[in-house]
Amino acid sequence: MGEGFARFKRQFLIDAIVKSCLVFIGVALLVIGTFLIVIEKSEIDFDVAYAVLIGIASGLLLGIGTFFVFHLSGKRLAKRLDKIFGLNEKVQTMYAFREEHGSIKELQRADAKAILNDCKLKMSKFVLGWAAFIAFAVLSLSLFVYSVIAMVSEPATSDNNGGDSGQTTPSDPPVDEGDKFEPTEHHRLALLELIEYVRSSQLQEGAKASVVAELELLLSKLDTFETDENMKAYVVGVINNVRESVNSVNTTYELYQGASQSANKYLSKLNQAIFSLSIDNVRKALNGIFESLCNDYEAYYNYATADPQPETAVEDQVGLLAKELVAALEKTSLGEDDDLYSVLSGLSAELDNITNVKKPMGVGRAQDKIREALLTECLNGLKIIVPPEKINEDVKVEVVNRLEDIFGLEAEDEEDRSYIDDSETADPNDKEETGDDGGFGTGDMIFGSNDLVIDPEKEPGNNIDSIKVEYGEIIARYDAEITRLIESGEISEEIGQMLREYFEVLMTPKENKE
Amino acid sequence: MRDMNVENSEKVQKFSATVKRIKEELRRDVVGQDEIVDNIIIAIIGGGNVLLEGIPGVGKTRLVRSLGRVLNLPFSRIQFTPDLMPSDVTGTNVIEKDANGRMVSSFRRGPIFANLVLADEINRATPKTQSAMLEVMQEHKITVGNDRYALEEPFFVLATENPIEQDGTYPLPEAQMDRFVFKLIMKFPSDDELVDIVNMTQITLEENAEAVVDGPAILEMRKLASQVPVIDEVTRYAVKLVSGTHAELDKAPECAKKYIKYGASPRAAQALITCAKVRALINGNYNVSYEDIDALARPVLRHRIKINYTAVNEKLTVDDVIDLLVKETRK
Repeated sequence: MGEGFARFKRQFLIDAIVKSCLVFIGVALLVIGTFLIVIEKSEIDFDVAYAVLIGIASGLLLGIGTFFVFHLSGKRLAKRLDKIFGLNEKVQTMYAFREEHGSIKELQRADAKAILNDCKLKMSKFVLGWAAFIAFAVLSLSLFVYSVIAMVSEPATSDNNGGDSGQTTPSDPPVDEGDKFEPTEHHRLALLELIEYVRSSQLQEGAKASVVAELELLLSKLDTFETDENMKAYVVGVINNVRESVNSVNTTYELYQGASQSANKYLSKLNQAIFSLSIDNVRKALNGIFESLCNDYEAYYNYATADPQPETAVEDQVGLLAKELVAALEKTSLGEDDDLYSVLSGLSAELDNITNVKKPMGVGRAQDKIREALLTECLNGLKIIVPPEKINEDVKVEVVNRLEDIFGLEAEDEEDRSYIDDSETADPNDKEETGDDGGFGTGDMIFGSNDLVIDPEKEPGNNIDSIKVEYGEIIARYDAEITRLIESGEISEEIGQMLREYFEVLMTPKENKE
Repeated sequence: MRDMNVENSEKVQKFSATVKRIKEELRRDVVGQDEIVDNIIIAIIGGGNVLLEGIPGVGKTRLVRSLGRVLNLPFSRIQFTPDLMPSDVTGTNVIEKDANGRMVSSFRRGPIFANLVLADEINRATPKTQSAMLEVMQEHKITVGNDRYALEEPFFVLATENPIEQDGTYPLPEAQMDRFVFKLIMKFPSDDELVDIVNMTQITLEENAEAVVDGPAILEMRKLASQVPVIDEVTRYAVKLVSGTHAELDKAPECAKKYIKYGASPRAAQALITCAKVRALINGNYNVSYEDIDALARPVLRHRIKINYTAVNEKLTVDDVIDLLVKETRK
């Protein structure tokens, strides 16, 4: 085809390569930059790596397409050269008949080659054609740089700590502007942080998945709430679902529901203590139960060995506790493989052994047995069960509190619950307690100041309500008992001081607290 | 290979030189009319016939006679009149005495038996006589009775039409019009040209042109020209131009739909390509270009298409419509 034709072919090939490279770069940067801006502005959770991949793929596709558009085949090149140099189809004829023989055809070929060899095409002509492509690439680069700067200079958000309770929401919730609900960035950001908190927490996996799913669904529905009322109703539903999810995995909750109707004062005490999810509370309750059971067994022993036996019946409190415990466990769905079930059923069996003998064992031995069952076996078992469920509970409380803060819910917005209000539960180590302190098994669980609680020193009879007393009365009685024990020397001064301080905190009126 | 290229190059150079000399010799007898001369040469080399239209006295007959001298070809002139019979053109069998005194039949050749025939005022002949010319112009053969006579190549008919007198004329049928490769219009010479004509004819009315080629040389030139390559795009362009004259087709350009009543036959496309090859070679090019097609569009198409009343009403001539057609087709 001649040197001239080959030369022009090379020039146009370079032109096509340069243009396709510029298109590749421009499109890739444009797509990536656009994705970055969209991610940054709309807070969409989209991996930047995917944006880069999509950008590169788009650039490749269009770059290759550009190459094929601008790369001239022999025929197209011949036509282009005829047009550029005004050769009246000489080059096209040369190319079309390049392999044919014939006198005139060969002459034509030679003539066209000679003319082409003398023709010159400056690279500046091509460079002018590149101007638009270069401009496009530069614009895309500018957009990309802008998007990177915008992403990099975005203020850092707070980290979420897994499992911590008491963590506050990052900013104040928006002011409610009437009935219409307008989701804001605060809502979205706070929900995202809350979701991340739950994910990274040590909440049990089954409950975690449910809670995360609820929160994510809430996030997706933010734009669908037309009024505040709609929003709050939905959020209350989410809160209830969150509670239910966690309560369903907390066996102590199930036990509490199963045993809450029991009239047995010991079981009631134990139930409250376990449900408080505080080992300290459980220890205290068990100590109290131990003392009472020991006294009751002594009375029982005296009755059982007395001659003649009085006609008045003395209830076998130890065995009764064992039976009540079994009955409470049977009301739950806990199975034999449940840790709590095995701990408490073991306790029940031990206590039953104490009384289920032909001849009652000696008081001292019974006391040892009771101590062993209650304070050793039971406590050790509960030390494994309670902490994880405490974590579940803490996460639940944190999620509920945050949701209430984010969406400005008041207590009266939520449904009445037949069980104890979780928002009144407080960690004994947490100084920022809300609500009145005191009541039986205090520490994590705070009872309402007007609530009636079961008096552990009264016999329920047929009416459980008959032995319910005001919370304040119980506190005063415990305080008096502590004082007596200290004064009589039955407990050491150190323990006494610890108990005194404990009850002083509980006894301090709410309004006087810092 | 090199020798062949040299030989071919010499052939082409000789071709160009011959054409140049033909033109120069013709200019000795014919003043002006350069375009007419160029196109007639193209038609002769291309092997086609030419219809020449012009008012009396513009030099039609002189041109053809001069052409006969330059081409060194036997020339005959047929003046067509309404009473001219076909046998007056082709020849006829006559009874005559031979040397022994016996009456024998022999064919007396008509004026058509020449290489170069001037059919003057062909539109004055009757359709019967005109049709006798059809066979001759198309097949270069004559049938008389049961005998068929071939005409010597190259054979070329140059017919003339007087555009003024319409009484007593018989418009050429389309079938015959289609057999002319070109229709050329000889215009009234310019003042300067007329001065030259007057001065020249004051000296002598005889043609001064001398022979440049002969019949075999023209056939060689024709063969050489037929080898000129044409790319497919140019052929398609010529075809598009011809098919664009048919207004009934969907793909016809707007000007055709608006101004053309009847379109050109496929012979027009053949004529365009054949004559474009000759033109390219005459101009020193070894290939046919779009420019060659455009340059020949008017002479090839003007007698093959019929414009409608809309064009007449807008005072558009056939040539104007052809120019519009070329412009729209080139887009």
